Parts: sequence; structure tokens; C-alpha cells
Amino acid sequence: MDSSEFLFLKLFTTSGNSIYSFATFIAFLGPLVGITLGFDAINNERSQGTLNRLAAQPIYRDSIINAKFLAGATVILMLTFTLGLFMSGAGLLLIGIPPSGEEVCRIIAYLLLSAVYMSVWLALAIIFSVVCKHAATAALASISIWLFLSLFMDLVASGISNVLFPVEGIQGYGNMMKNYELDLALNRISPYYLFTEAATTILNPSVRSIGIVTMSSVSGAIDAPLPFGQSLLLIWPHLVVMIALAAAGFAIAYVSFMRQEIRA
Amino acid sequence: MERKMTRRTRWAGSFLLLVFTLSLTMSMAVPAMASEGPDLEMSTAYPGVTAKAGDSLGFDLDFSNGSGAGADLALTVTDIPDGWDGYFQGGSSQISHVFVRSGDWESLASFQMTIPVEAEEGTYTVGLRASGDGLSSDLTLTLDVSEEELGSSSLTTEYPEQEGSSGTTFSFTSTIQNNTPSEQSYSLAANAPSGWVVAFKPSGESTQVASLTVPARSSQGMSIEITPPNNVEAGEYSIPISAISASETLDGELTVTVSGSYSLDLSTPSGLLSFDASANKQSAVTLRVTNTGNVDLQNVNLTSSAATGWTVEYSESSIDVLEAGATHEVTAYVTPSDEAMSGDYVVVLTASNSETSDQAEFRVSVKTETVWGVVGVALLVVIAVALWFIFRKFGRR
Repeated sequence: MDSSEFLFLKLFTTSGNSIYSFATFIAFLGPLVGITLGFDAINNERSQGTLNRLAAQPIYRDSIINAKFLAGATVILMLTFTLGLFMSGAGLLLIGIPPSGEEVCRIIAYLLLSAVYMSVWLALAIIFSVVCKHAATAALASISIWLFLSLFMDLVASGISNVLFPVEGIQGYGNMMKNYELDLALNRISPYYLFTEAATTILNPSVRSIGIVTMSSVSGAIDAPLPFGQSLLLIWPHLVVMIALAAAGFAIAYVSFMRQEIRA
Repeated sequence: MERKMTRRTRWAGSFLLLVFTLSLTMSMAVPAMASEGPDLEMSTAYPGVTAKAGDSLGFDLDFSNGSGAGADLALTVTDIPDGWDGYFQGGSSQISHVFVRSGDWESLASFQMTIPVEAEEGTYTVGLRASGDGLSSDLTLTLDVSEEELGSSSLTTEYPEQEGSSGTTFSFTSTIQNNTPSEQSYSLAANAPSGWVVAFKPSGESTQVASLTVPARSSQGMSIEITPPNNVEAGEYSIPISAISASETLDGELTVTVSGSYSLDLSTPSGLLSFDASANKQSAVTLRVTNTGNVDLQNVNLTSSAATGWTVEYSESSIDVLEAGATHEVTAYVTPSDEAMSGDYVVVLTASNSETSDQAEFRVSVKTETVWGVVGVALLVVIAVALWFIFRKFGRR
């Protein structure tokens, strides 16, 4: 792709020698925002004894858990958009090239995607804050899952796929495709991987396929950027999965909170 | 006796003197005897000459004066055909007399003469005379006038028959020869079929001219550039050209053979060379095949060059006859491979027969099926419904 096109998007994807790109930071450290906002949502209230008083107020009980999640989600949304707009504003001042309409659409889609991604971790942290008695336990549990899914899922996925479909030796050639497919499928369990894939696709219009690109799909292809709608269609499954994860996490936290004895 | 002796000696002495005188006289008389006849002779080295009408001739005149004294001679033309003109020249001036001192003189004077262009073929004589101081000499020049050229001006072309494909500019090199005694202005014209362009240009110049002025008895070269129209049919065309002056008309004929040119054009009716498609779904494209040559094309085959896994089918894979200038519409059905990614691919469609071919490069934008987008929305709806059920079941208590 011609590097002069979509220059503004490069603000978000270009990394320096010693510093990661904006997109990498969000993908790796974004979960910490969600965890920070959610890990002590319920158990802190409980340990400080304020949960009883809160429940004594003339409000429905589910309002508490709803408010905890919605407040966190709102903060996350504000945070991502503040960060994104700050980044765009600074970039505009520095490079002086205004973003095109399509670039604005892509940036907004990316920021929404980031907010959903962080909300997934918020929901996870709230589950632990409901389930664990101590805030420290909830925090450590959330962080261990974050570290596992962000750093070690890749190793586990390649380990499993290499055991099931070894690529060494003669039969390795036949296994190569299955090995890669399994590796990809296992990696996609991790929200981190899903978000990275989706962010790359939405911020780089020349990415045309997520998944396996065979020689036959490359033959005859012209190196041209995808329209925004097509990029969005490519990452639509990722977005749906992340919304579903957030919703499921919240549902688990909701159900377990509603069934808990809180007067003790 | 002594007296007698003396008389005899005197007689003998006078005899000897006589003999001596005689012998002296005899020895002096030998050269005088050689120039017996005329004392004056006017001559030229080549009195008989072959010449053409219109030529200018010069005869060097040699003189031999044997009279022993210089002579002042008047030069006259005694006999010359009607209308001919001649004069005597000495040094650089026209002369009427020449002074010839005793002895031989070469090229003392010359006779200059112009044969009129009207002179007919034949043998003519010109008589010259030098006379004066009691001496006189005649000289007769014989002129054989040949090859009468008058009045046969001509318009000739070096290669009057040329061949080329349509779109070629045919360039002919022609020469107008003016053989008249006067300058002529020829207006140039060509009788070409409509749509043809004929340009006359003087040799070595780029100016297009309508007439040419040719001095008397000389020639002027010109190039004639003939451009047939683009859609000219193959065949032989003859183009009469003429150069008309006040006194004469020169005609010529140029022949141009336009050979067949084979040319095809493959495009779409709108000229748009891109279309959208979905992986593994057939898309129809209307193609327009046009014969842009001047010969009918037989068996035009439609083929394609697409990526692996793609298929291209035509509503008719071959056009039997495509007449010159005719257009034929064909529909191509393009099915992208089921492995095709989103984004742009190139598909080359080709129309060809044994003589010519043309290809159209299509940019095919493969779109992701929006079905999965709808499925995603449906999933979100399911999630929302599930949350609502949970709220209903566990909430508000």
C-alpha cells in the first residue's frame, strides 16, 4: 500500500524504537483499566460494611450491580475517547495533516472496539469482586487471568497444536494447515488476541483477511486498501464475540450477586 | 693574253655571284612556296557540332595571315538560319573587326551563337567571313540540331503505386518538368475520394502549397502526401492528380493500395472496467466487442486469464463473423474463488482471433457477504434477550 495514504491512522499503529504503538498499549494495558475499575466493586463495599447500608436504601438490589458495571463502562468509554481524541489532536498539531472522513470513521470504530474490550475485563473483574471475599484475591485472580491470556495463551496454543499436529518430518507438511488452524482457534479464545486482530484490521486498510491467506487467494489480488465497510465486516465477528463476552461476564456477576447473602 | 684572262675572271666572278644569289633566293623561296593559295585563313578546331535546341555554343576562331603584313579584317556572318542569332567576341566584348598580324594566331576571337528553342531537328549551316585589306577567308560551321524538347512538359512520379495499412500517410515524390520557353505557374489538384486528405509540398519544405511556379526549361520536385480516412476499406484506390498552368495541363495518376488492418476493441458499454463480486458467487458483466479494423474478422474467441480458483464463462465463447466496424455484445459470468479475500482482484478478459486481439483488465472488488453481519446482529439480539431474561428472573427483589 502506498504509505502516503491513511497517514493519520499510522499515528495509532506506528511504534518507535523504545516505545510501543498506541494500539499495542491499549491492547496490553487496557485490561488493567477494566480490572482496576472492577476488582473491588462489591467486596470492598462488603468488607467496609457499606453494602448493608446501601441495600437498606429504597433501591432495588440489582441497581447496585448494574450501577457498578455501567459506571465502570462509562468511565472506560470516556477514557478511551479522551485518549483517542488527545492522540488525534496531538498528531494533528505535529504532522498537520487532517484525517480523511474514512480515517475518522476507522478511529471511532477502533475507540469503540477498545471500550468494549476493556469492558470485557471490567465484567471479569466484577465477577471476581462478587465471588471473592477479599479485594486482593479478586485483583490477583483478574491479573493472573489477564497475564495468562495476554502473554501465555500464545505459548499454550502453539504447544497444543504442535502436539496434536506436529510439523516436523514428512507428515509435518500435511499437518501444517491443521496446525495453523488449531493454533489460530486456540489463540482466539483470548480477548487480547481477538482485539489485536480486530484493531490491526480496522487501523490498517491494507489488511484484507484475518486468518489463513493461501497462495490461491493471493493470486490475482491487487494491492489496494479495503473500504471501511469491508474492514468492519471483517472484524464484525470479533466485535460480536467481545460484546457477548462482556454481556456474559456481567450476567454471571449479576446472577451470583443477586443470589448472594449480603446481610451477613 | 693577260687582258683576255682578266675578262674571263670577271665573268666567272659575276657567275658565281649569280649562283650565290640564286641559291639564296631559292632557300628563301621554299617557305613562300608552302603557303601557296590564300594568304589569309580563318578556321576553327571543330567546325561540325551536334547541339540541342536552346543551347548556347561558342566557336574559337584561329587565324593564319600569310600576306606578310598585318591585316585589318571585318567579320561578318554570311549565312545563318532565320531567327538564329550570333555575334563575334574578342576578350570580353562584342567585336566587328579583328586585326591579324602576320603569322598564325589561335583563339584570337570567337563566334558565340544561340540556337533558338523553336529550332527544329535537322542540320544547319552557318557561314562566317573575314575580309579586308585585299584578303578574305570563309568558314562554314555545321550544326546538327537534335532532340527537340519543346512543349513536352511533364509530371512524373517516382513510385506512383504504393501500399500500406489504413492510417498510413502515403508519400509520393513527383517532379514537374517545364519544357516551355517561359516560366509557368501550375495550380495543383488531386481528385481523391471524400474523406481523403491530399497535401502538396515542395521538396524539402513543410509548407503545403496549392500552386508551384517552375522557371522555363527547369524542373521542380514536390512531395504529395495522401492520408486515407481511418475507416477506409481495404482495396486499391487511384487518385488522379493534375498540374494546370495557363498554357498546358499535366496529368498523373497515383495508386494507393490500402491493405487490410485487423483491430479489435474489448470494453464495456459504459467503459467501466470494474465490478463488485462475492466469493463463490457469479457476477455478470456485459462486454462490447468492436471490430475497429477495416476487414471482417472470423472466429473471434473470448478467453480469460483469472486467478486460481476463479471461473469465467461467456454467453457465447466465440463470435463467428464480426464485420468491419460492427459491435457485438457478450455477457461474461465471473465467479470468484471461494477462497478469495475481500478487496480488489484483477481479471483479464481477452477477445482474439488469428489476426488480432484485445484485452480488458477488470478490477473485481470482492465483497464479504453481509450475511455474517446479519448473523452477528442476530447474536447480539439473542444476548440482549438472554440478559433481559436474567433481569426478569433475578432482578427487582
